[in-house]
Amino acid sequence: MGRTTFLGEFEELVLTLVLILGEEAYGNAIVQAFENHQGRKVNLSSVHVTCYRLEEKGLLASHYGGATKVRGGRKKRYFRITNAGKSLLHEMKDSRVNLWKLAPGLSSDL
Amino acid sequence: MSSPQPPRLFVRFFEWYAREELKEYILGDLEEAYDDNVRDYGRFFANRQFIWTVIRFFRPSIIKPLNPQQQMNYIGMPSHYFKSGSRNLLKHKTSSLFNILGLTIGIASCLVILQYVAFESSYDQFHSRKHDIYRVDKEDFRDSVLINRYQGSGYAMGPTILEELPGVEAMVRTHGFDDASVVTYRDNVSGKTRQFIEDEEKLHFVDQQFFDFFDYKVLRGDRNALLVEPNSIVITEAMWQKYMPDVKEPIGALLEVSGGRIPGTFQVSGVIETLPENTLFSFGFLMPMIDLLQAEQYTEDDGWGWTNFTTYILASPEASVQVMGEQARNMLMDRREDELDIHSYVALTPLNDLHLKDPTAKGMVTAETLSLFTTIAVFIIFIAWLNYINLTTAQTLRRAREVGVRKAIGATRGQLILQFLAEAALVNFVALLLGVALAVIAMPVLAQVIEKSFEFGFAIQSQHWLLFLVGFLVGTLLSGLYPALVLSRIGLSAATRGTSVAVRKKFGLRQVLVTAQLMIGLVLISATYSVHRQLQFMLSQDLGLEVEQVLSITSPMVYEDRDKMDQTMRVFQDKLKSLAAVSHVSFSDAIPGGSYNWTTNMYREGDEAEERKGVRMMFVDDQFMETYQMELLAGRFHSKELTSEEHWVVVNETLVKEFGLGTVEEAIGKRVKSGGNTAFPIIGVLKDYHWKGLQVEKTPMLLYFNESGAVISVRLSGADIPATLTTIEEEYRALFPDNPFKYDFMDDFFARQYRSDRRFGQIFTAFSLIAILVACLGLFGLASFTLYQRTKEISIRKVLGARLMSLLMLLYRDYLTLIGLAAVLVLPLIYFALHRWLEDFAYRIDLSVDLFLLPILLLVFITLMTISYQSLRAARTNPATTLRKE
Repeated sequence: MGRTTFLGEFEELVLTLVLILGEEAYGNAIVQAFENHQGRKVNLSSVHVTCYRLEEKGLLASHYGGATKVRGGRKKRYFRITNAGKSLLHEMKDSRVNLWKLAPGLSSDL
Repeated sequence: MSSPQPPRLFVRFFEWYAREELKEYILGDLEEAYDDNVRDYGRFFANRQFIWTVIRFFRPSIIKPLNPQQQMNYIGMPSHYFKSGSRNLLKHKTSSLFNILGLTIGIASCLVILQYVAFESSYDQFHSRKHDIYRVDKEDFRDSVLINRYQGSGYAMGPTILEELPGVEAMVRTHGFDDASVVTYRDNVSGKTRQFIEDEEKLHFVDQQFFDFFDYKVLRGDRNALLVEPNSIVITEAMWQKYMPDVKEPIGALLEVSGGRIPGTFQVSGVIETLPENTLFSFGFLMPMIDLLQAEQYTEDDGWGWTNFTTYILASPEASVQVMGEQARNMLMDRREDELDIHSYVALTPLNDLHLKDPTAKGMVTAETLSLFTTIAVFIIFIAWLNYINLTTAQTLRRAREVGVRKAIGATRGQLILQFLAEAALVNFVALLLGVALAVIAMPVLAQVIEKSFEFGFAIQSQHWLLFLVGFLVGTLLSGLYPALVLSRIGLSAATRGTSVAVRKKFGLRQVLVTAQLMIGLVLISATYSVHRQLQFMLSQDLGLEVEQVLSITSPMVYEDRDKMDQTMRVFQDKLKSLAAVSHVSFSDAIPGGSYNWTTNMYREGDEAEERKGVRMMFVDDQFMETYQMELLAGRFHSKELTSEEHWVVVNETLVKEFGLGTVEEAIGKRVKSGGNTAFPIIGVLKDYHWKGLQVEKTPMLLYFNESGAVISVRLSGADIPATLTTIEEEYRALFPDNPFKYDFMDDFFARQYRSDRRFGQIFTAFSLIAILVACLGLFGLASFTLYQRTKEISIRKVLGARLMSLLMLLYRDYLTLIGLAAVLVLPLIYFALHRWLEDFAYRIDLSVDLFLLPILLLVFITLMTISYQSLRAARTNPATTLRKE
């Protein structure tokens, strides 16, 4: 307990997807991942804005690179999860499991 | 074929708004997604998706900040101007205070005056046919020269003009009640009685057509038949509340009217709205003309003899006013065969002129007075703006470095001008807010002075907002543009060098502006002084009669039997006389300061009837002369012993002179005649007295004997007036239990005639003082800056041995020169204006030298006082402190 940072549902998902994508996490890739893993269409702008916000909170870090012909020669901004981000995800998962354990008749399933 | 590109417009839109550092990656992502979409879903979908996403990106964390360091930014710079402007204002609190205070006072007085002018101009503007209504006046000619113009016509004038003058659609006659009256309402249900004395202007007789002319709202009753029935009466809502507040349906209620021409019981036939302040009439009751015409005085008259009626006509909208006016001028005012009055013709006065431009009555509130007030308002606000210009340009030196630094950084001249304009806008805006607030507070005070109840309703009227906006913009440009141009012109080198920027020119714009202010100040001071002197002169004149310590009591009007009442009146008179504190008691039909009883034309016995001159007649008893302490020059006053069949009269000096009766002694025994065969022998001549205020010229006057007048005048001799008053009231109530008691102190009553003049004087003085105050603020501020510039000069002079006096003279000399210049320029104007203004007064002060000299001296005094504080401080500074800086 005693967490200072809280995440919304969308933020948590973006953070998790960046973790999953590893080295390949940039705007379009995250949108794509949303579609593939969640079956959900999201707007590029929401992803970008959320990533910047998470970066500001220190949960993500970014670097530039990978200019390709496809994008009119423009660089990509890759995101990578920081240790703080990882531990926050863990923490959130643990606290959720703990909560589920309290739910009657369901604890054995987990 | 090249691959499809995303919509150019939206790419550019994105590039315009997005943060520099984010642009590349986002645009990259956008384009990649676009290409994918084209491939997977086709171009149309891809475009749509692209546009939508660009729009979705338009949010705070993506949009570039409003940062002045960046180009393409039209909001940051102005906000910077205002910020540095307000910092500058706060830094120099004194000069900001003078600027804002001056402008605030200026704007507030301007608003108050304009509101007052608008109110006085709004009289009778709510009648839908105001342009078609004319009053029928009478113009007297002698040898085809216009002598005078009167209002008033016989009762036959209305019907005659309706018949004879083409284009007249309708006519209405009005007639005053002529006397105060007592109105009584008896409530049958509660048995309560409400009774009040109503002044003469409260009751009016009018024709039914009155309601076709004037748009007063009818609240109860049938507008088309309000005054058709005899003995009907229309009351205003205020009277309804006053007499029968509990009565739900006032129609049919009975009101008893006592006194005046036709006492009797009247039945309420309608209620109209309480009259607004800004209208011609001020009645509370309207009674039918048909009733009045039944009065003996009019049944015996052929409709031309008694000219107590006011006739209004309604011109049909198609009628040509000019043609009508010319035709009216050929109509005779009097149609009686035996004394065809070939001197008097009909003249028409439009309703719109009645309040401000009435040719038959001269009030203080005229169109000219109002334009004078407007001029003062404009003067005040201009002085305030001039102050701003002066003070701001005087700061050139102080602001030079700032301008220099800004220019060095790369500010263009246009930007600097904008900056100084923004400062002006800031000052003007703050001053406007404060000024409006001040005006709202000051308005009730003014309303009290002019005794009219009106409010400052700018919130409701949209034109006020327009006025504010225009005033704000004009003020900002007028006061800000010149300083902006001057300050922004400072060259870079001069600015950084700092010192020699402000060149002291002998006659620069600043001197011109100060001279203009001094001129305005001088005009206002001498105008105020002259108005004051004229008023004092009028109040100090010998009236020829003494109104101090005289009490006037309205005589009882509710009675059953006239003869019995007369007897009771004698008893009352004797009782009053027996009081130790009462020296004289007189009964008369008119009292000084009130109206005349009768105005007629008379001629000397033996002359042709053509030689007639206007004579005012009053009915008084034998005690009148002593009660009012008038001075008898020859003969004797009325007494009860003289037989009244002889028609003895006592006249004034002017009558003796105008009628050519020789000396006052020779006049005794001579006779004057009016229309009929009656001749009036003169038994006494009184020194000229002022029956009315001093605005009125001396006219021939004549006192006729009548014992049972309607007003009781009591001269008190004792000191304990309140106790005497109580005793008199007790006696009155004991003898006349049905009548309310009402009295006036004659000196108050008489002074009421000067009320409008005094009011005019007060308002004028107040606003002149404000204007002078604002000008002083400007001078004070300016002096502090010019002295700042000359600090070193003064110090050096001091070091070289200059004395305090010579230093002060050096500083004063500039201002004295300007005052001299202002005086030379403005004195001729003052002379002509004063000459014209004083012409309107029958008794006026001479145009003596002191009227011009004193204001100049006063202006010199005020100016020197204003700048002395600063000058003394500068002259007494230790030179070491100022010179050390170098």
